[in-house]
Amino acid sequence: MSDKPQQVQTAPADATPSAPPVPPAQWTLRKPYGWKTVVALLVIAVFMTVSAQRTQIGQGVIKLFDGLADLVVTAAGVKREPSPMGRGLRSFVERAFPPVISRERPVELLGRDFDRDDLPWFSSIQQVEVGGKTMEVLHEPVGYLMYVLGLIVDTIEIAIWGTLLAMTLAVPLACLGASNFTPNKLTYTLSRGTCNLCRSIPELVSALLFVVMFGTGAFAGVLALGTHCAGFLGKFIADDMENTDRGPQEALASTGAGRLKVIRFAVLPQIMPQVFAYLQYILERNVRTATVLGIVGAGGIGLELIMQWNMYNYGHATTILLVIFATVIVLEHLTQRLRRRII
Amino acid sequence: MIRFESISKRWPDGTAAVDNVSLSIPRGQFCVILGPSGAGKSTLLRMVNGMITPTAGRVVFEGTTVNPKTLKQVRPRIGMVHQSFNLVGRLSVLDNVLCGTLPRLGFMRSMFRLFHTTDQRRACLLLSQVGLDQSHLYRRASQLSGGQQQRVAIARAFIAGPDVVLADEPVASLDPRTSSDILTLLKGESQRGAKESKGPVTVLCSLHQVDLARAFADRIVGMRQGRVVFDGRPDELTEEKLNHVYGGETPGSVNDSSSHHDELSGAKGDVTPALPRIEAI
Repeated sequence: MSDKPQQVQTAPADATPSAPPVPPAQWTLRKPYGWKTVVALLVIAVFMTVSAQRTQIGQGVIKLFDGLADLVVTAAGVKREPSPMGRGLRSFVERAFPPVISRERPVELLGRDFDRDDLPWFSSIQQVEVGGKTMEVLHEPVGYLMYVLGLIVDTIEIAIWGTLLAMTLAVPLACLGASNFTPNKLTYTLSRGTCNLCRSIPELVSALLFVVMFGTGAFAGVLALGTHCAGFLGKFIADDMENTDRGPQEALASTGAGRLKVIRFAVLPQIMPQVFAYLQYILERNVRTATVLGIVGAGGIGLELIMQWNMYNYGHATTILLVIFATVIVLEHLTQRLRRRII
Repeated sequence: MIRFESISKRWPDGTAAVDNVSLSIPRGQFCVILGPSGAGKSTLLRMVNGMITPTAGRVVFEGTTVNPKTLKQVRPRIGMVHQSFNLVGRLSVLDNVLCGTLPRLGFMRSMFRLFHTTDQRRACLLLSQVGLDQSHLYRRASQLSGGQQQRVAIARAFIAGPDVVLADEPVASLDPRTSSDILTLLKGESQRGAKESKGPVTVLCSLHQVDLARAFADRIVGMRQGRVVFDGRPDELTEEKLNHVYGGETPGSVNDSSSHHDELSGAKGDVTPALPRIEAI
């Protein structure tokens, strides 16, 4: 009985054997937090106060409450000078609804291919008065919606190719950037550096560059999406490869299988669920991002959106936004089903 | 034939895992390495297939010195069974066994997971020999019990027709009954080679359980603190010599921290020994 506690104290290898035993009642306990934490929190509070001023948080909150007061007062039936926020919102909402899905095009601008006796489905020729003179227009009830759907298909295509490009670039980057598989320190640093560089340039910026290099169009958008996503996909996969269970890798390496075969059979199956989740996310965010790439001329629906917005055609913009929203939801649904089947 | 020629392994912090060991294991022998945790059993095994490079001395495998240059020839002739099975959990049982044929599978074939039909047939044969049947073939390895996983691992170790199988505490995480079954299989598989006119497969197996070692070994090597302290037939291992190997009760064991761990937790077999670091993949 008397020598048992002594064994307990000699057991930890790092404890010096000569140190006198400390009774448990006197073991030092740490406080949950010290004065340093308090000071750090105070510093953060001061910084946030200054920063709130700089980012106009204060004015914004005032405008917000002003706008809310507007709502209450209007509901109560009192006439009042509308607040700036209320004015802005109203100017959007009044023009944004209902969304525009029809399209009218002057017949004289339709070109030679237009045949008066063979109109597109559901469309008709109507007479409109513009500035005192009568004009013939081709009226298509869902024409604009169809046009937007065509643009969204372009956008999805850009997103898919961007994702594919990202995947192709990310696989070698990940294999070289995973510390347990990289051949040497140089390849590791180069690969991680490339990932950081690609990741740190926003798509909109690299799209500007690619538009200059390859001209306006979808290809510049594909490149912009691909390089940016390769940056973080490469980093994520490399991190996952580093975190995999080493046992199977050791087992396969001990049979004499080469590095790539070990990755294929011991690492890939382990990281597959995460990789699929990343791909799903990247495809979704690429669709979202591709919608704005058009603003800088890199293809997709963005150009149409910004043009309609700048002409205050908020009704058209609403159609575009709703279509984007529906696309993201449908895509999410499809990829979830695919994911359930694969994993 | 494996020859350890005064081989030593020191970790960078100065501790000697294996200290000047010389052994010669003839072809076809079932050799059990016995010893407490931290005695250097795993390190010794892993130096045979170059997973750990020795700091002094050398290992000669069938006339070839094991070093980074010869690994490509040596490793495909050595099968290995691990304590924690080390199967790829998300691959099917069949694919796990076929992983043993990867070194001789062409690169493109391996990338597209196109194993040879002859190999697949041989995998089926091996799986039936280790007591699994068709219903297990396409189940994920992670869905099997520990004993079944170790059976798959044995099939994987033998599929490439190895000359030597290294078993690093193959039964340390299994219950006693399964342990005995697994060792029976290991021994059976190693002797099956004899019928295929290749001569029995050499097995180098590290174990914790003395009774299992006595029952299965042709030869027992006792290790303690990196040195060989016993080498002989199982019937030569007397209680006195066993005490020398484990040395738990003698006062000289104060420095051996691992034996204290065993006493503290109260269950010798359950303590997972810290695996030696792997240096070469």
